[in-house]
Amino acid sequence: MTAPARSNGVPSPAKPRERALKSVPAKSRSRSAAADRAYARRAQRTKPSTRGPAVTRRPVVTPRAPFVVMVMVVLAVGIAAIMWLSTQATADSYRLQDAQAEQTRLARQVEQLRQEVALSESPLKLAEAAAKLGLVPAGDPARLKQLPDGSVEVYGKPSEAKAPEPPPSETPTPSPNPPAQPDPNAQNGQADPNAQQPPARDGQPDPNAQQPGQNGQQAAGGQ
Amino acid sequence: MAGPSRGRPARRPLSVRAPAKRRRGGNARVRMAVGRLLLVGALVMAGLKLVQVQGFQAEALSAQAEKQRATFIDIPAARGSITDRNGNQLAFSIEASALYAVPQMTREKWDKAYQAKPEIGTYEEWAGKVAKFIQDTLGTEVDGQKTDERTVYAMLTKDTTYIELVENIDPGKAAAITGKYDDIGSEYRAVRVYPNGGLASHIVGAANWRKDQDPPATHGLLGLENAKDNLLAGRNGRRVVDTMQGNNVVIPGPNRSRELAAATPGRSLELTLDVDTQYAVQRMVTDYTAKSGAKTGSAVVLDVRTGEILAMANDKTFDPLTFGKATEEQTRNTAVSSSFEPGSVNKIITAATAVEDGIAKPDDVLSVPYTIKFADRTIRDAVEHPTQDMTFTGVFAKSSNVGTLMTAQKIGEDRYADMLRNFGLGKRTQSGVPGEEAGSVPPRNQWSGSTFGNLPIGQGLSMTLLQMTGMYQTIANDGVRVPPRIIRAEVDANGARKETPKPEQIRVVSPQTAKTVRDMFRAVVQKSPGDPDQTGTGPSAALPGYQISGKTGTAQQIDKNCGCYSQSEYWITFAGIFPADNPRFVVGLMLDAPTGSPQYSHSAAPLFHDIASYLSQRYQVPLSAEQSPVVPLVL
Repeated sequence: MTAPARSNGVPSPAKPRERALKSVPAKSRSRSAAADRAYARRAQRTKPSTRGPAVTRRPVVTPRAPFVVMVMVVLAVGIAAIMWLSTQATADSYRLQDAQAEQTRLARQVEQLRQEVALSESPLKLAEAAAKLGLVPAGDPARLKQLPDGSVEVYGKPSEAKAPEPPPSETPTPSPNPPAQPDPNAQNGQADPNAQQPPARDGQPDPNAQQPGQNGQQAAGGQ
Repeated sequence: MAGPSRGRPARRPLSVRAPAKRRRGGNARVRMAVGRLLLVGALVMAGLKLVQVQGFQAEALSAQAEKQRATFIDIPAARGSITDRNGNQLAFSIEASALYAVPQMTREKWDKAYQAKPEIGTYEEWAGKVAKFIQDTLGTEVDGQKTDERTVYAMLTKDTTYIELVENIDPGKAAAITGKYDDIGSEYRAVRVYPNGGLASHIVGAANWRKDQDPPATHGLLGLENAKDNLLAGRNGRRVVDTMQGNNVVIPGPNRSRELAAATPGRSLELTLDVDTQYAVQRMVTDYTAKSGAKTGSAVVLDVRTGEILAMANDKTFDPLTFGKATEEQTRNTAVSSSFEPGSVNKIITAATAVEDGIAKPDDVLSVPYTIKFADRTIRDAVEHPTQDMTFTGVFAKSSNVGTLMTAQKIGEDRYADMLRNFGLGKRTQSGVPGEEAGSVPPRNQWSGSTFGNLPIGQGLSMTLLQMTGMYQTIANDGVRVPPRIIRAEVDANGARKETPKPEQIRVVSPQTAKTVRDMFRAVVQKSPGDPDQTGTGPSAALPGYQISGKTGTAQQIDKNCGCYSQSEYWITFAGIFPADNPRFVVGLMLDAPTGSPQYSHSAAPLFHDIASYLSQRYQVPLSAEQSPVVPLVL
C-alpha cells in the first residue's frame, strides 16, 4: 500500500505548490540564494522519482476504470475461491466423519470376528465340538519303531478309547450320524469336509468299539 | 505520509484567506476540532480496550471461550491381551457400550415440549417407544441383564437423575439406539474376553471394568491381570472437541476435534504356556484328583532347556468372568502358592551330591538295616525288612529312607545345606507366576540333631510344586538349573516383541553327575514281573518305548491335633524326566491327602504316565534309542 501512496504523493506536492505560488504575490517570489539552492536540491531530489510519474501522469486520469474493475474481479474471484474452499473443507470434513464412522464399524466387525475366532479356537470349544461328533479322548496308543533291518517293533499295548459313561442314551445319536455323514460327502465332494471327515470316520468306530478291530489297530498303529 | 503533506498546504490558504470567511470558517473549525477530538478520543479508547482485552485479559477470556465450546474426551487406551506361546488368545479386550438415561432431565424437557406441541405425545408414551425399540434391537436379555420392554420402561420412568439401562452391548446396536433416540446416551466400555474360560485362569487371573476408577477402565484383580496391570492397561489419551453450547453435538468442520495426547495402548503378554498342553494336563489332573479323592492336585510341566512353564494346572479352576463367585480355594494357584513337604522326591539331592562328590557310584552296594538313629529319633524304612544289601541305585528305586540317610551322613550337613540352596529351595523361583511362595528350609544354624535325619528324605522342609519340578529340571538339563518362568515376551501394539531376559543359570552338578543320576532314577519305574525286589516304586509311570526317569514321593502331613506327623494323611508327589536319555520335559505332580482307592491314591505315577504319553504325541517325541536296562536293586 505504501508504494502507490508514494508514487501518488510525489506529483501531488507539485500541484498544491503551484496553487500556492499563484496565490502568493509575485514579488515575494524573488528568492534568496540559499532558497534557490534548496529548490535546486529539491528538484535534484525529486527528479528521479518524477521520471515515473512524468510518463504515467497522462494516462492516470483515463484508465482508472480497468484497474478498479480488475481489483473488483480479483476480490470477487478471491471471495468466491475462499467460499468454495471452505465449502469443500466442510464437505470433506463430513466425508471424513463418514469415513471414520465406517472405520469404526469395520473395526468393530474385526473385533467381533477376532473374538469369534479366539472362542472357536479354544481347546474347550474344540473338545465340545469333538464330543458332539462322537469323538472321545484316545487311550494309550501303541508305538511302532522301525528297526534298521526293516522289521517293526511294537511298544505298548493300544488301549481302546471308551466312550464316557454318561452317553448310553447318546450313543444311538452318534451312530446314525456316521452313515448319514458319508453320504453328503460322497455327493458333495467338497474339499473341506473331505479333509475333515476321514479322520472322524476312522476315529469313530475305534472309540465306540462297535466295529471289528481292524480299523482300531490301524488307527492305533498310526499313532 | 501523503496526508500531512497534502493537508498542510491546503490549510495554509485558509489562514491567509479573507476574514469575511472567518466567521463561518470558525464554526467549521470548532466542529472539526470537536469532531477530531471525539474521533481521536474514541480511537484512544478503542486502543486502550484493545490492549486490555488482547493483553491483560487475553488468557482468561480465551479460557472462558474454550470452556464454552470445548469438551474434553478421554481416548480409552486398548488393554493388552494375554496369549500363549503360539499366539492363542487367553485374554483380550473388546469394545462394548453401556446405555444410560437421565430420566428426570429428559422428562422435564419433554413435558415442556409437550405443552408447546401436544402431538409429540407424553413422556410415558415416548418411554414406551424407546423401551420397545431397545427390546427389538437387543432382544429380551443380554448377558443376564434384562432388556425386555417392561424392565426398560420401568427404568426410564423411574424418578432418578441417572440410570444405566444395560452394559456390555454391541457398540453397533448401541449406536443404532442412540442414533434414533438421542436422549439415550451411550458410554464406552471394554469387555475382557477369556476364550478359554477356566483354563489357566490361576495364572492369567481376571480383570473387569471398574467404574470406581478415574478414569474408568478395565483393571485386573487376580493373577497376571493384576500383577501386570500397569503394563497391560496402557495410558488414556485426551481429545478436545468443539461442541455447541448446551449440548454435546460436535460442530462439524476441520480443527474442531483436536487430539491433545494419543492413547498409549497397553502391552500384550506372551506366556510360555501351551494352551493345548495346558488343556490336556488340566483334564488329566482334574480326573486323577477326583479318582484319588485328594483335596487338591496340581501338575507342572517344564521345558527342560529353557525352564519355560508349558503347563501348570490345579484340579480346581474358576471362570474369570464370574471370579467374584469363586471361592478362595478355587482362585488359589496351589502349584506355586502352597508349599508342602515333598517326601522321597527330595532324595534326588542326596543322590546327586553323593555322585558329584564321588561318595557313591550307582552299582555300589550298601548294607541297609530297617532303622537308623538320628539324635533322639529313629527313622524307619517304609516296609519292614531285615538288613539287606542294596545297590546305590536300589536305595532310590526302592526309596529306602535308611539307605538315603546313610549316604547323607557321608555327605555332611554343611555340604547338604549348600546343595539345598543350589537346587533353589527356600527361595522364590521368580518365575513371574503371581502369588508364589518361597517354601521353607530351616536355616543351617537352627538345625537340631534330628533335622538332618529329616531333610534328605523330604520331611522338615517345604517347597512349592514349581520348586520341586525345578530340582528335576536341573538334573534333566545336565546339571544347570534354569529358574522357571511364565512370561515369554512383552509385545507392544505394533507387534514389536521384547523377550523376557533369560534368567540366570546356575550350575549345580556336572553334566556327568546329572546323566548318572538320570540313569539311576530310571530304576524307579523299573518293573520286573514276578520279582518285587527288583521292581521300583513307580513302575506305573513307565511309558513303553521311552526311557523315563523319576521319583515317587510320599510325605506325612502334620496332624494338627497332635502336632506330630499324621499316619493317615500324605502328600503324594511325583517328579519325572521325559525322555530320560534325551530330556525334553519335566513333570511335577502333587496330590494333597488322597483318600480314594489305593490304585490311585498311593501314587501319582499313573498320572505321570498319562501326561508323558500325551506329551510324546503332542510334541512328536522320538522313541528312545534304547530301552532302560533292568538293573539289580536288592541283592
